[in-house]
Amino acid sequence: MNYNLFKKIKDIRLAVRQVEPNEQWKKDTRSILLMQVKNTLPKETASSPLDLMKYLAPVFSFKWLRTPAFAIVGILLALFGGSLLSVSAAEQSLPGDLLYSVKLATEQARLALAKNPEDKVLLKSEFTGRRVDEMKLAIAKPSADRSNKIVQTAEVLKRDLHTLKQQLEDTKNVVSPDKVKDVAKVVDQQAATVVQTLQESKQDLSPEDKAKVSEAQMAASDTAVKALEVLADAHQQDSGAVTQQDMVDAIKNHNESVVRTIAETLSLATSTTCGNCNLLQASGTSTPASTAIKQVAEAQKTFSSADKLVSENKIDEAVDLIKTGTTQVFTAQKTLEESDVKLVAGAASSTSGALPGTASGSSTSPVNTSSSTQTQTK
Amino acid sequence: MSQLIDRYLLYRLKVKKDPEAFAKIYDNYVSSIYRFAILKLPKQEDAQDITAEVFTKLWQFLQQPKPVTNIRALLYRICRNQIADFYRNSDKTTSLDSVTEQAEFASTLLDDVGRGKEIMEARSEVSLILKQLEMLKEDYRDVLALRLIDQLSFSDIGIVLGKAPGNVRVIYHRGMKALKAMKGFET
Repeated sequence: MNYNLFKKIKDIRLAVRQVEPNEQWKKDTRSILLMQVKNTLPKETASSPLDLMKYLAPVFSFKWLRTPAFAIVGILLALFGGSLLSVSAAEQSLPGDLLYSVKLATEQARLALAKNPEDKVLLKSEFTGRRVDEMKLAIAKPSADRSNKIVQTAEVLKRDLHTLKQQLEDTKNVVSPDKVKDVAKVVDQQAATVVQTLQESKQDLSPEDKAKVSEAQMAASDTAVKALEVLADAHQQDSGAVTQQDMVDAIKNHNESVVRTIAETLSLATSTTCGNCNLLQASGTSTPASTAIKQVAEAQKTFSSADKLVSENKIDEAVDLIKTGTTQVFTAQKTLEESDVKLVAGAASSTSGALPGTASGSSTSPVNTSSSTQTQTK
Repeated sequence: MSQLIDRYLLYRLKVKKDPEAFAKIYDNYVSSIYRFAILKLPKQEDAQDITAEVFTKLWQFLQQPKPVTNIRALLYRICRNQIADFYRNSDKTTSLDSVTEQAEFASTLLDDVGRGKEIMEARSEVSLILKQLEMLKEDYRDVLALRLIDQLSFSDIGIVLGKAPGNVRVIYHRGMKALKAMKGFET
């Protein structure tokens, strides 16, 4: 509606609204009508509350349900609403669930729609965060196949981290150093978060599951190191975009996350020394705990050397050492966890070995039980 | 909301036999029906007579067991029929054109108009615009007046005019097009 017409109609409406019938006439007509109504109105009959509903219900009619507009909306909802619901339901799914493939397909679609390589890396990094959430959920959710879910989630996480590493490598060749810096920092931070979160989450898991989660943790650590390498390359290409200070900060952050893992490994080693060492030391060989402690000490030395190299501006060499140190830390962790798996397996087999004797009932004496314990110790 | 109030008043009137409910309906609609009538009738007295007649007819209608779904639309419909009867029964020489030429409606209207600046500005144009509205087809004029001045919904206008809401919508848009093409309304 054009402005001129709109204004004129508004004027007319305004003018007409001012027209009011004569008050006296209104009053007189009202009393005449009221009298007429009173004279002809029959007496009140019995009524039920349903009568009121009968009168009010048509106001809440659902006529709009039959309108073409609603039909179109209905068709659109049927076409797309279902898929939207599936996608939102899929968001809560875990590996092995029916809707998990929908979730991964949605992520693939988002990746395919990403405009440039750095966006792809950032998206993948975000998806890695989702994998960690899935891992936390798989650990927290009590279910019959919990262990299976944890293993599957760890595998998916490892795969995603590997892809992220690849993408980071590809980005370095096509993106400017300043953008590489941003992307590498985000990835490094995300990888450090993954390592840390998995470290906290895996504490109460069985040794087998813990080993699987540690593999994912190691993959995250590799990705973090890759981010450092990419950052170092960018620093070499353009020291203005990626400054010395940027490198020092990134390395410091990375080392801190690894130091946390070292602390965890050491505490694990100490507890193993106290708990199970006697059993293993009795055999006369070096214990996994002592091996781990040695490896951790070596890693610490490596990190100290790396710090020195950073201060001397030998970034590439420092990154190489960090890579070595990280591997040493995770090797130490692996050594300990593998020993735990062996111990549990050994304990399980000895328990199952004792079961037939227990089953024979009368033949099992206290003496026999103690001898079986001795055998177990040996 | 007003429809809900109307339905409740109808319930009070028909089930509870409460005469005050009819008085309330009268209070709610007397002014708008009077305005609708005065736009189409030559004299203020005629508009008053027709308005009083509309409410008497409404009461007669409500006494019948026929279902009433929309009091507002019903009132406008009765009013429109009454105006048609008025012209049918009055002197054949009195046409709508002559009414507009005499501009008695406009003078009646302007007597009642307040003193606001906007109203004062509107005064000079109202007479001309209404004269132009009279030149439109009757269908267009009714739909435009009910929609733009009385602000009835298309479905209510459909009830008043005995047409489908979709049909009313089409007439409204054609009427607007015709109105825009008129002198004084163009951009």
